[in-house]
Amino acid sequence: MEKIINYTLNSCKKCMKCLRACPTEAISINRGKVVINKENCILCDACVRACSSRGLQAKGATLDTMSKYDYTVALIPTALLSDSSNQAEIETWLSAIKKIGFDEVVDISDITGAIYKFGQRYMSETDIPLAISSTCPVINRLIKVKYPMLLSSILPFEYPVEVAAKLVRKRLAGKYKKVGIYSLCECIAKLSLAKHPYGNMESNIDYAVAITDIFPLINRLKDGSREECHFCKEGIHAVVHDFYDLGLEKKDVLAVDGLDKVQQVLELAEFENLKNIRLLSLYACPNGCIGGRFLWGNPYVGRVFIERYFKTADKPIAELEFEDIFKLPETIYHGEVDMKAQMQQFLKVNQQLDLLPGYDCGACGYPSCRAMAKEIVAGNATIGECKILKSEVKE
Amino acid sequence: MITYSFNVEKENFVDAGVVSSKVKRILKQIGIPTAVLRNIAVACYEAEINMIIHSYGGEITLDIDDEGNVTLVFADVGPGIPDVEKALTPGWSTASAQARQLGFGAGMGLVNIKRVSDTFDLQTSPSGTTITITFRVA
Repeated sequence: MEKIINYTLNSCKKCMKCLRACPTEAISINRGKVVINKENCILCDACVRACSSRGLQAKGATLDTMSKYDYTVALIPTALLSDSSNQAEIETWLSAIKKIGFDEVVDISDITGAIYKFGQRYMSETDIPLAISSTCPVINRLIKVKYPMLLSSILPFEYPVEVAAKLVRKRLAGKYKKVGIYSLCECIAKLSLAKHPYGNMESNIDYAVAITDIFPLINRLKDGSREECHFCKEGIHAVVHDFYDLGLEKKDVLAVDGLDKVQQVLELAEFENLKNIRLLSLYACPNGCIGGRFLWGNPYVGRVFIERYFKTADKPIAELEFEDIFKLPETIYHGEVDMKAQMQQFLKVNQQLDLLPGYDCGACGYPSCRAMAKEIVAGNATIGECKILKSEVKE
Repeated sequence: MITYSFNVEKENFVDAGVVSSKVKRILKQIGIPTAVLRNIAVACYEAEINMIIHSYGGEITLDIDDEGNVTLVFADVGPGIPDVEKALTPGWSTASAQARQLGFGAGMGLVNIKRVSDTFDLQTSPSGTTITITFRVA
């Protein structure tokens, strides 16, 4: 998989806002350049939002690839409904999207809804004490990087958009030679799920497009004509943090939005101290997927808008089999763990850390004193790069 | 070998879990395998909460040897556990109403600690209780 968030300007002013915003210490600033560690980056967009010169960006695919396919499909994110208060307007948008050149626009709220319902069924049919819903790629990556003990608690389900793409491909197989499936994305993390542009080659989604990039096209092409569409209520429940428990009979669920709050809860979950809660639904963005960066509206206004669809949302949840959505849970392969070497490394880092001031100011370009100490041990940095120690010498 | 020690104050519910979070962070930094870490986290949290609820306060000591094996010592200054056998019975609890209101005191603390640790030792008298638990990483 290729790097998704990149620094796009020639030089950065080293304000360190991205460094401080990153929840997983994935960023360092080296010789005036922002360096993102791909392994630790969880695609949460905190750095993108923090960068005051808008230098950090994640770009989706463009649409100039459409001509190479015999039949093209656009998958519509359910969260898009939060950008408009009425169905008629959404249907003019969908019509405009079709006019871009798509043969079909496909709503996926019925699949999102089905997976949402599967979560509850899974909880009532197994006796696992705590599960974490898995529809946010950022959360899944956060758990892998920072809370690996909880990796086995993530529900073993595929992402709704991936399931949708798989089903579309199955339906069209044999009818068209080359089917192109485009996922219109409401957030940065969702860009990572497709084959292009970031190289998740196992996916059924061909291209991931930031929906914000086609808003201008939609505006130009909408002409009052409507593409009739039905939405599924449970699918809406699943993408809005505030609505998560509305569609579930059991109330032993906890929905949490925003990475700060999510991390507080994961911290407790690692101590197995979430009593009376069996299902955690976690969203990186404010108020759930409707807070995705590529959407137009404010997520709190969006919540009011999307709630209005409850009255008209009459599409039943998709009839899916467990095999349709099952995904093997991710595991971390440690290989042979050499604890002796790891202990020695830890002690060496601590030795360096003792020499540093411990302010975690980031002025050296590393996100914390510990991060710098590690680089010193690895031979990539010297203690002379610490700005605080330098200024103390001068005084 | 490296040693850390942390203070625990009597009935300081606001800071409940703070020491366990620190212990967990240190062990993650070292890279203790997750299967062992899970057990340590659960035991440490239970024992820390026990100290806050039941004891007059004390100290938690974390020892990590050169091979990454972990020893945790929870030493408080009283009042001791009058009936150890009962305290090791699932569901038995003497937690205060305040503690129960906060969701603590389900009476599984000591039982859980013993269940997840590799060795468990409990010494108690009116002048204090010391629980020593160890975890092997290999």
